[in-house]
Amino acid sequence: MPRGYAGKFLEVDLTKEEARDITFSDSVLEAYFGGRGLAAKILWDRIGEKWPEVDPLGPNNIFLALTGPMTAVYPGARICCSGKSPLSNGMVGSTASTEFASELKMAGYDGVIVTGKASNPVYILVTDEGGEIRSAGHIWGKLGEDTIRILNKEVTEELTKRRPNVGLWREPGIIYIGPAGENLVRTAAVMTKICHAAGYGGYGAVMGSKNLKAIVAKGRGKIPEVDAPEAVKLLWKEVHRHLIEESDFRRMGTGYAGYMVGADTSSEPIRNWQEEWHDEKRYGGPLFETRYWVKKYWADFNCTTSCMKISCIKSGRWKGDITDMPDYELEAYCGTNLGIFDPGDNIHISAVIDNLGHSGINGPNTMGFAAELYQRGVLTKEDFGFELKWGDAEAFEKLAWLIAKRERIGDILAEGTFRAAVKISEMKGVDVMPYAVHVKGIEVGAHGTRSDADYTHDISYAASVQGGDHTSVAVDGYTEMSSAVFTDSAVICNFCFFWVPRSLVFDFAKAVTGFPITMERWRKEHGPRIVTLQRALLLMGGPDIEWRPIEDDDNPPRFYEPLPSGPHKGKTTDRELVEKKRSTYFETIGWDERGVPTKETLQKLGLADLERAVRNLRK
Amino acid sequence: MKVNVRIFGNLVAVLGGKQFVELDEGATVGTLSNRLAESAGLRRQGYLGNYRVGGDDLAILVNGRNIHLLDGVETVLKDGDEVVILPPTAGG
Amino acid sequence: MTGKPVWIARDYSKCSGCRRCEIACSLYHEDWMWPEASRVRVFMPFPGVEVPHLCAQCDDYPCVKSCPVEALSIDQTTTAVIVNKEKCISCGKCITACPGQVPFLHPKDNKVVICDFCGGDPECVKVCVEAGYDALTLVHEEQSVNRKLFARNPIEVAKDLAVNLFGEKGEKVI
Repeated sequence: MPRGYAGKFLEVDLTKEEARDITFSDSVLEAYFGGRGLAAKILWDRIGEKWPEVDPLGPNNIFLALTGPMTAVYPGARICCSGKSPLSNGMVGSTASTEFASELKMAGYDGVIVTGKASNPVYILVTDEGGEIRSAGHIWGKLGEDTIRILNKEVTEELTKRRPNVGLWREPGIIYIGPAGENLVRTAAVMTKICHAAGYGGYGAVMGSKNLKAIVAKGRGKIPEVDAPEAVKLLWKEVHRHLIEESDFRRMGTGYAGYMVGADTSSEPIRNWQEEWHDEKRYGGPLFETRYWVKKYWADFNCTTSCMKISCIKSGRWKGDITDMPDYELEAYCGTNLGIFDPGDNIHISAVIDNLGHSGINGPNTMGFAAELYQRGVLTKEDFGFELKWGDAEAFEKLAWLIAKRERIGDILAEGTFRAAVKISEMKGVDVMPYAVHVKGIEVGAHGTRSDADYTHDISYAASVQGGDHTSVAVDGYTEMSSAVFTDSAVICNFCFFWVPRSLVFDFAKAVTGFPITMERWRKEHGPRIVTLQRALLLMGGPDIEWRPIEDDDNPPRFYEPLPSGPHKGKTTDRELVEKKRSTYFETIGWDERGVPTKETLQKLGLADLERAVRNLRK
Repeated sequence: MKVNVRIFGNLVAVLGGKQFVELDEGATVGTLSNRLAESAGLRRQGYLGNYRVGGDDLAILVNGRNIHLLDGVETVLKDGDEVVILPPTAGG
Repeated sequence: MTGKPVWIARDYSKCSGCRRCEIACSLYHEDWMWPEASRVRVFMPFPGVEVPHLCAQCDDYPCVKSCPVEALSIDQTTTAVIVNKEKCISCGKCITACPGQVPFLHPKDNKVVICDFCGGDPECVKVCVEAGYDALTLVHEEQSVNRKLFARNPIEVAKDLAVNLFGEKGEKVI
């Protein structure tokens, strides 16, 4: 095994109730690295041409929780969750910051691959002794906070019992689902540390479909050894120096953006994206900070950006709520997108969403969609059991529960915005597709494209293999290959990557693994290889939907409506630019004019075994 | 000839946003960036703000294509070309 | 300041949970990143409630007294507890004797591990201060009976810290 890797992966078959250690060849690891890249490779190798038939919420889907060779040794340890996405029918590399990732490595594992379905709720425990399946009947149905509290205590006690005389055992790292994932809400997240989430892709539902409540890891080993330890020690210091001295997100996280993205770049979702500009000064960062922030620098393993802050409501009707600052995405989605402009209300909805295990972006996107349908009279009080007015935090809390438990219209909304829109159009005889803000099934992140003043533009979402995922946007088919595609595969946190000179990051990668890694190779080989594989899986799709090349490689209808207010009033996404740039984008990566990978490209990238499946996608 | 330039991120404050730039025939990306730097009163040769022109950290696209896949800073511009200058941006 | 021994002051509410102290300590003592061999270990029984757990150099050294083979001694300059690995028999008596169960057995060689101030210039403090958190800082003060009060079970510390951070809710999270 190359350096940087712990040396093995844990494969758990929940149907057979078996766990065993497996490895991958050096050449596969070098070509796909880890995390997102390796997940794509594993999924293709194991499912292959049967991809369209596999039900993402059925026992034949595979759930992966993978690290990469840079996880834990490079600042900002993250875990990458993947599988066939119940939303896009493709695959997404969905990451979350958590000590679960560093504990997994210290236990001697680079990842966990879960197949089949348990007959009863279970959790997987990974230690230095290996992997085991344990009953989770007593925590099934529990909210996030309780799940953590119970598992921390239970696992620490168990490990102490097994090895009693070594001193105090520390709590393990945990990834878990809430009621949303348990009830197969398609947008459900994989949660960790109460408010961190692997949110895009709906992998919480995949865990739920396997009766898998959590994966818990505790290891006592070293962080895996690296190829050039003296170099890594120096580079480690350098990277941290950049983060401490130059990172923009240290002091305020993204918690000031709830005001700025509205007032300044005019690209914040407001009432289901009906507007994107606001000037609500009561929603400014300082108003969150002064009243609610109780911890101003909160980090995950080996991180000095410490962008996270912790909010706690200590008085009033939401007393007791704990969440992070909230980060910008939830300030927007659990706030302005629902017509909420009160920091306390926003923190409350965020905490509710987190505890239920909803994705903080995708879940409230569907909630905002539902509220617009209520606004337009398509859905009524009869459908919900209560009124759903913009800005009413109590109503949106009820809606979050309704969806998590799949009650009433919640059962349809739990299908995610796109599928709910299709269903409701049918049901009510009204075309509500224009109000669904998603790209290829994945709800769009809180950065609009109409003002063109934010970092998201014309093809950012439209051409991306991860749909509306704002963390991994399409740029030019070259630049982005060494950003999110890389960090999602190395599995490190983006906020420990921005502000660090790229050359330093790639030198670090080389010093860890010994692979001849350069930024240019990632941009020309590794990135395109991974993204092309993702593209093939995305277009193969199924079983309920196949996306239409070009037609579905587009922005949601709302993003072509002119902005109704603010300094960018009247602006909208430029369709012509989308078409032009999309076609250039496809060409740059080596896909045909419909964005289907060509035979030559598959050959060049070492993906020749995809040719037969991809041939069917070509005209 | 005229090229249509769009600038984003933290370079907007330094260089301005969307603008048309008049250039002589045969002008390259390098010529354009020198002109932008000059108009903004920037002194550092070959840099826009803190970013080296042609370096890895600044994405310069001509008609959607990164100049690293063309001729780098020597890429020749034509009338009506769309040039996008994108510093590394962070989303969260 | 001159003449007074060093001590690592701990301000729990400032701990970010970055665990660079664990990395710095193990880089110094073990030559690689090894959080479970670090003399300072951060406990986090609930997210946001982080407690760096390390030796407090009790003035009456109950651990030293408890060792049946005299493997533990006191550094007269720094006041740190020094472990003689050759003599240690991994019996665990010092762990029980410590009011906070701070010592632990090394994950590889099973010998007890206790903070030695890195000889007087602790690495953990350097990285914590460099990052601006100041959860661990170096002070110069005479040893006193107060030291023992810091040798406290980290879960008990966390319960108090949780109330400090979260108010009434804090009583319910751990």
